[in-house]
Amino acid sequence: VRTLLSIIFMLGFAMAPCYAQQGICSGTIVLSDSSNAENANITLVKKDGSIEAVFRSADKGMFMFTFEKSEIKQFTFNYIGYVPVTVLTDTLKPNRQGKIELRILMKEESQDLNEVVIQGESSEPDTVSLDLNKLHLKETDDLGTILKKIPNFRTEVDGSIIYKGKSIDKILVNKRPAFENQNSIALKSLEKKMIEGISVINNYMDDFSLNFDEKEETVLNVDTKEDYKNVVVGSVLGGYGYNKKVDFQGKSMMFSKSMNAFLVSNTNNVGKNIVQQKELLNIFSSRQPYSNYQINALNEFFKADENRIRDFKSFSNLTVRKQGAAYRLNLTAYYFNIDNLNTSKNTFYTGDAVPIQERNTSAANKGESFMVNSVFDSRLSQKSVLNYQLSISAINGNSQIRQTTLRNSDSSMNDILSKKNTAIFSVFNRLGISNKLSDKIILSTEALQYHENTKFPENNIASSSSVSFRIGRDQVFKKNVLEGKSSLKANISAFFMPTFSLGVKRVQEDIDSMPAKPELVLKRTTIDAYSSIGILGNKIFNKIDYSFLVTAKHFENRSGSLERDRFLLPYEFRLAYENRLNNISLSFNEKQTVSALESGLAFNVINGAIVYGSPSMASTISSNRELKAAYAYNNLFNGITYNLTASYMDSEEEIKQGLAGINDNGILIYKLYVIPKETTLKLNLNTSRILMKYSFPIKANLVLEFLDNSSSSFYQNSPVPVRNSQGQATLGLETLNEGIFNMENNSSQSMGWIKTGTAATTLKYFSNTLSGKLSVKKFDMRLAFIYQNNQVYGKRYIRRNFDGNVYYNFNKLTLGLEAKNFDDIFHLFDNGSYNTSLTSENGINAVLIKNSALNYCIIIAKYNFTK
Amino acid sequence: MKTKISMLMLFFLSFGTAMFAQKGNRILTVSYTMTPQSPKVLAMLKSQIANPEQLAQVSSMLSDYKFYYTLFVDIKGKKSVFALDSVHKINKVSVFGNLKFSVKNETDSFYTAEKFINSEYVFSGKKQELEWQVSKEQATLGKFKCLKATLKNSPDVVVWFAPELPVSSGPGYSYGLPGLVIKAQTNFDETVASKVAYSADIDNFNTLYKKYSDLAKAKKYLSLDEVVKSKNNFVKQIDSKLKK
Repeated sequence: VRTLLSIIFMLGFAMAPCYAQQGICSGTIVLSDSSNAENANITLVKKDGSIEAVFRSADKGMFMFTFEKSEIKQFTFNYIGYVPVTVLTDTLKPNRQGKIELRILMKEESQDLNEVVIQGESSEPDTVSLDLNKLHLKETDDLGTILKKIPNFRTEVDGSIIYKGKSIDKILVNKRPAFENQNSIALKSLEKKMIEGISVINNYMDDFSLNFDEKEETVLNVDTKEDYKNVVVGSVLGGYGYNKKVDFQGKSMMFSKSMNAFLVSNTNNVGKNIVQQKELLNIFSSRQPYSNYQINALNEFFKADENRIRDFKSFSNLTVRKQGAAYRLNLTAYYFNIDNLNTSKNTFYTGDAVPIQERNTSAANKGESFMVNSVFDSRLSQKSVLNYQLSISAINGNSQIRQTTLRNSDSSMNDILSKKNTAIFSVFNRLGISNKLSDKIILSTEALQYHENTKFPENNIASSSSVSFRIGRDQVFKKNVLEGKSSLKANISAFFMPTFSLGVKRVQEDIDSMPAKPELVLKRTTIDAYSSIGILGNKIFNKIDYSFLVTAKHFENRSGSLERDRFLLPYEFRLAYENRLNNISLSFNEKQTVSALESGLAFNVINGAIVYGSPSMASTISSNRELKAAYAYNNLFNGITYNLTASYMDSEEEIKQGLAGINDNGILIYKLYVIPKETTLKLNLNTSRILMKYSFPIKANLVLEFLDNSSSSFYQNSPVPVRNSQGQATLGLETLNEGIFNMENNSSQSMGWIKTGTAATTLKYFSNTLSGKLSVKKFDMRLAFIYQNNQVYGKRYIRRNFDGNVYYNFNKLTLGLEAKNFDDIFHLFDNGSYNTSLTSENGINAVLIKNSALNYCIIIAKYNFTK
Repeated sequence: MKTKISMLMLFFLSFGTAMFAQKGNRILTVSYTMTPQSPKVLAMLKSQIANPEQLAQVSSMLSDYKFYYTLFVDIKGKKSVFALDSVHKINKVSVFGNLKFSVKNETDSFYTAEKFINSEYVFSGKKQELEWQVSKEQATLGKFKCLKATLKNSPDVVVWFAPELPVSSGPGYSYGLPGLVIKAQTNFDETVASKVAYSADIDNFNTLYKKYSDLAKAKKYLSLDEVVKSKNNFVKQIDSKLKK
């Protein structure tokens, strides 16, 4: 027995250390709000860092497990949304029963978990669906309102949509082309109630262009609800109000598998625009640029000016996009009609602030325009695509500008009337064929033809009181262009794709007076024979794209008796790096542009002023260089975006007007000068994010802009250096609460210096718009207070006014009241000047004071075809 | 007066508490990318394409083919939604199939919609039916230390989960592990998490949950067992054809 007891005793001693190695741990996990953490993880980590075991907490956060004391270094307690707790086993002391008891208190993470990248994707997913649910949208919100609430998108007044530093020009509907360079129509026409989802497609490719998959475009896609497919949807709106103000709108849209089509029309005298000039130019002027005459005429149609007394506009657009497996037809037609009148007060100063002339102006513009663009693509075979484009535009305009002038030097006063009638017709044809000769080679050939006929049957300045004088230059301008071009593109690898092009372009232009006088005819023929070599590469290391193109041009310019041959070498280079969140790009280019033929006219009348040119001007070629660097950060997950852009441009031999004097009739006389050099630096920072995302979401947007321009002007035949520096800060805040009330405030402060010679002038512009938005079930209301305080030449120009609207939505019917600048109806404030600005052009400084503003208060009724 | 002030304070206090209570209701959001590439698929290709250059090209095209999914997990409500967001297709490449969505309710029943060889079906099961076998094998994926697990019911399914993220979810029907599944491999594809974050947007989750729960309502549900057997038969058929 003794021996047995001794053995047991000995074994007991021997076993004791063994049991001492095994630990038992139990306890509870409590969260900072005193609740228990059920299903929290307890990870046992060994001394070598590897995981030994994982346990889960049970009901009421309780846990119990055993562990090898000698092997386990630590326990880690994890619970989503809470700071992990690590307990080192060395620090643990067992209780009397040999157990370890723990009470783990886990604290909530003070900040929300930022996005954790586990395995970096080389690029953003090809299609990113936008989460609309968190935006607290109303069914009547349009696409513009929706995108404005997402920080990752920037929408501009001209219809631009910027995403990740890139401009989105195409909006698909149900993944089929619908709005191309028609963002402004889409932003107003597509409403939340018809939208199932919105996504950004990063790798959109045109079905009807042969390429090596190198061109991937970023587009926006709107998927409609089933009820809005294959049926005509849309709305009609009628509005009438104080002072015979009207607004009539009609929209009908059809989105189906074979065809997307829409017809939109708006006739109003309340200053609304449904089409933007920039978009039109992208459609009609991208392949064959419009002439200065066309651009100037269109400016009158689209110039945004909220200071008009009369502002009648009628715009209509019909677009049809039909696509089959072998063909595609895009047809878009626009009709515009305008009739507007504005009044303003101009004061012209010399660079050192000496007043030269004061003008009270009343400008009336009328015009109508019809433009149609059609593109037909046909897939002749798997390896062959044919394209045909036909664009026609007709623009008619009539302007009458009455001015009362006061020449400051001798206090002489004059009344003058400038009249201009314009009739422009142009037609553009392009036929192209692309063939994939092999998997590695594509041959493209195209022929282009363009004809323009611009007439000014009346273009003169006369005395408005009695016919004491009449100075005019009634004329006709004709332009004919023929171009043939072939290019060969090879796909050696995705990283190296060379292109080689050969082409000839012949441009014939002439300006004749009306009625025709052979001695006043100015003719010019330019022959541009060019060859270009380019290389491009894509997705190098999945992140880098580049392209380089250099063109050798032999340029013959025969203008009257002058003949000039030039050898030109325009080039462009682009390098871009893109990953999931960041986009960095660098580009530089140089191009040469031949001057407008009218600069060769010894005498001309432009915008109510006399302009003297010289024949040699018509053979001037200006050079422009641009270096641009951009960085964009875009985090859709967290709703943060930053865009930083810096660009530096310089130009040589640009032709500009310089004030030579004022004649006895009060007419400004300009001469044309060749400006040796001009430089412009632009910096832009645009940042946007959602603040307090979960408690009180506010969309914040900050824009900082800086511009510095150095040039020279001519004043009374003497060159004067001019430097214009301006900085602007804009801050926008918009609450995005689910509740009934939201607010929005946009502030903008600009400061600038214009230095002419040695004299400097400062300007300060401040504007603030504070809006309150109330939304209760079917009722929506917005009231905005506008405040402007502009300082020019030490004088303040203050404007205060109100905008507002109220809507009540029934099922298919919306009733509302829309009002703009309605203080001008009630006269609470004394507003004498609107949007006062200072500009420096043509060798002089000009202060422009608008002394009226468009105001209206109309009742509207809108009926939707579909619920 | 004091009573009114106290009432007012009490009102604000309750209002504030309600706001914070809402804040605590968190949704874990995980983005996944699925490529239709797996050792099995590569072996099949290899046996069919002799030319190594062509094989490399096809393999590269397959790896460019991508399905993008998002997983939403209601941490407190124990519900989850896994849904397909978008597909990056590659011309001339067709895949065996892909998961469309999977929803799990608060009672741990799951409903998974899948497309496989031109047929679409919904299968359902209980989380508890999934028999995971956790091994000692470990790997670090991104910043997370992960453990390997295989599914006894379907031995071709291999997953890597992160105990640091105590959420019993992952791509498809990989429910029930003590950690979020970061990577999953099957005979036909590989799915990897690309990012993870969490938010308080319960409204969005509820909308998605309802949408996919409604979509999951089917006339007939297959069982996981039936699906696994059908897929195994398909693999056996291919294997036998390849051997011939």
